Amino acid sequence: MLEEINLVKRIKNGDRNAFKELYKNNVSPLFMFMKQFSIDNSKVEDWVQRAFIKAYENINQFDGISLFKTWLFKIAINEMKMDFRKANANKNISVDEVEIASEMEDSNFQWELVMKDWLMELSEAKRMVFILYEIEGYSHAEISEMLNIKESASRTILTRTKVWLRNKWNESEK
Amino acid sequence: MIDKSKFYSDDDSPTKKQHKEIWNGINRNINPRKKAFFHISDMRSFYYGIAASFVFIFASIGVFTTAKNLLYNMKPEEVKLDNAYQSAIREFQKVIPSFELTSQKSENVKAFVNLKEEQLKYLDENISLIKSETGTTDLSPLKQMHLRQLYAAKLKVLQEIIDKGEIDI
Repeated sequence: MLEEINLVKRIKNGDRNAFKELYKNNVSPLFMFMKQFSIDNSKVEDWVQRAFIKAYENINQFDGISLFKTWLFKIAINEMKMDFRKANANKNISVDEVEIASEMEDSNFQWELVMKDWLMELSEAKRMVFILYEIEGYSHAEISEMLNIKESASRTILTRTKVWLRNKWNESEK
Repeated sequence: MIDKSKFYSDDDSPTKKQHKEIWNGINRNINPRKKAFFHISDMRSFYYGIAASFVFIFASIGVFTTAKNLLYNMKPEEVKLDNAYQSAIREFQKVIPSFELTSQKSENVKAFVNLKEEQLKYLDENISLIKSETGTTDLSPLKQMHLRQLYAAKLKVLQEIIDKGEIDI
């Protein structure tokens, strides 16, 4: 964390090598995450590249309260959303329509490798919340900030996704 | 939370080639960042510093004014009176009109100006003489009285010039 703060300070003072260092530390996690939203490698590369360029250009706005990775993910997600919107205006990846219900978190959920393929059947919004929470370890508060949704919406989406995956698993077992 | 290794596969990771290509793309698109000439690293400290500077400046002005007043009050009455006369003379001299000597009545005006200039010259010489004889702080009562009379006379002459200027200009 301290090393990251120093790197950001150096970038603000015009040190490009520091930015390359930050790139090396963050490119793989971001690439792996973005890869879950497109099978087209060139698209993923483009999102990652644009996210880093925007991060560099707006580095003075990075306050250092969150991790650089969190901020970078947020930028990349916005870039991706923008592309989806352009590609298909009718395809809605917004989560605004999610009905907020007091659903209990599914504590019996058990991850199975086959579920990864099933995740691809879900909307990008549901996939994003699931991966950010279950794989990347972000809190609902952080996810709400990154995706610009309510914390309660993030919880609901996660619970529903887990229920859906478990039902699908149960069906496949029959 | 699910273990990342159970979710991400090797195919999800960028290859070395992709790693390099992405960086090259970034490197081409980012302009060298100019070193900030004036970068404020901590805004709160910066504002505290500005506020403290203002407090220091006003406090310094207050101390200077108080000291100046104290020093002035410590001076003898004779010196204060001398300063008051000199100050009044300076103010009068600031508003003395300049006479144009080209009109019909220039002869009268010229005579008046010459007379007053001579009077002022005489008064200035006498004032300088008394002042040069002794310092301003150790004048004898007689000389003090004489000096004040000279100041008063000079003020009267200056007032006459100002009055004449109001009529003739």
